[in-house]
Amino acid sequence: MTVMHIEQMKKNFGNNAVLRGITLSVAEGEVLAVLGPSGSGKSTLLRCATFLDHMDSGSIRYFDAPPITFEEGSIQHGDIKKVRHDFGLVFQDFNLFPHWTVWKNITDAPLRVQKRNPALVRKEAGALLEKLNLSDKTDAYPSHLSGGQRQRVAIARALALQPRMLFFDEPTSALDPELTGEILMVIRQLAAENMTMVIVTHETHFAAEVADRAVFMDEGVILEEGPARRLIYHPTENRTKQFLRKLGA
Amino acid sequence: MNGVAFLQLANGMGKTVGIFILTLLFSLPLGLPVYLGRVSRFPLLSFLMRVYISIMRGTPLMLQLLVIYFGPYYLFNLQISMAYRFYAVIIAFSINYAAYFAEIYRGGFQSIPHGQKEAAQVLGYSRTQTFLLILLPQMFRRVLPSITNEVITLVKDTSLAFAIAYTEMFTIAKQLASAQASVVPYIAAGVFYYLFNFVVAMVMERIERAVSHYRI
Repeated sequence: MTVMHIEQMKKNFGNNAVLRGITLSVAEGEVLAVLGPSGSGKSTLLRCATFLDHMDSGSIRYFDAPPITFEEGSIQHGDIKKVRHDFGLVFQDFNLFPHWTVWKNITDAPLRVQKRNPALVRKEAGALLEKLNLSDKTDAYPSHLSGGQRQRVAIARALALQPRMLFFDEPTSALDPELTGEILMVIRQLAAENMTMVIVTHETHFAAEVADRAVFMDEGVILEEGPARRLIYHPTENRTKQFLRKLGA
Repeated sequence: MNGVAFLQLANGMGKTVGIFILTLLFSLPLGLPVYLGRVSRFPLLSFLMRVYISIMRGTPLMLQLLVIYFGPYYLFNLQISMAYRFYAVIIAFSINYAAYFAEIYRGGFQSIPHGQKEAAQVLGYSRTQTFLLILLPQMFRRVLPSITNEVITLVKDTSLAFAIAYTEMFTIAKQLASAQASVVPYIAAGVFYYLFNFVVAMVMERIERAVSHYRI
């Protein structure tokens, strides 16, 4: 089953065409890695898919909701509110709320935005913290945590809203190399639980291991697409080869 | 300095503290709508707030005080009541400080990383919720040192009320000094302002410490 489908997504910044008609589908339970050099448009793709930016034209559909279509940078059909909690987004620099404890960061949106049963939310949040090995950090503020711990809290915060799929925007790029492992482990675990994920990353070996499929983006288009291992270790396009060689894949 | 003079000064101190507290009570909250107007999407509102802030910061507070006190009489020929002297002080101080606070708030909001707003948006918070729950508390935390500065300046600025002969501390000290041909009332006033600010600084430090359980 297709859980997300992007059709002809286009985005310009001024005269600069950042996305030049992206069409992309993600199937349920699939892990998709998005690779590409900086400036290739992969971050913009994620921002448009999560509505942080509005695409100029094109459409996106989540699960069973009617597709949301854009013309000239504004919504023509569809309602973002209806799909808001179908997906979660984990940022590169965490963006935790520094004035709230870990507990409040995780439970506030389910309670206040989704208005879910408080007893249930507490129970689930406790389980999430345990799963992500953060039980002893419940009352800590983000500034007292390591980068890896912060990113795990950010993942817990996204999961607490019970999304049906997750986007990751370079989830380990702001971390020291020795801390990336703990985040990759969490993603690996989520993949084992069949969480649908779209991961923008530079960790090619990790992508090859955890992703089912990979796309390689360059200059606003998807240049190459295929099974993750094949695309990363045996790319066919020269541009892909060149990029992956630089990353040492 | 005799007992009567001392009582007079003490009475003036009470009024000085009154100006101080009322000004903060009005100007701190008032700074927010001024800031919101200043960054509003409506060009006219934004322009008006810009002009307002620019005038408040670009002209002497004493002059603003005189205009607000005498304005109703010269402009509209209204009789100025005794009570209005006090209201004029509070109005002039409040709208002047609100302009400064609005600019401080603006700097505070601008210094919050954009990711905070984006995280709130992705989590589904409304614009109002994002502002009140996520941005506003962080803004206050960030601008607290600047607010402390303004508050300390305000303690000393209260003495400007002498310009319209409102009988706060400084006005009385000045009257006593010329009546007694003595500098002692001025020294007493100086000691009072200093001690007042000492207490204010201590309180602000307490507040800053109370919110420093988290870093930003």
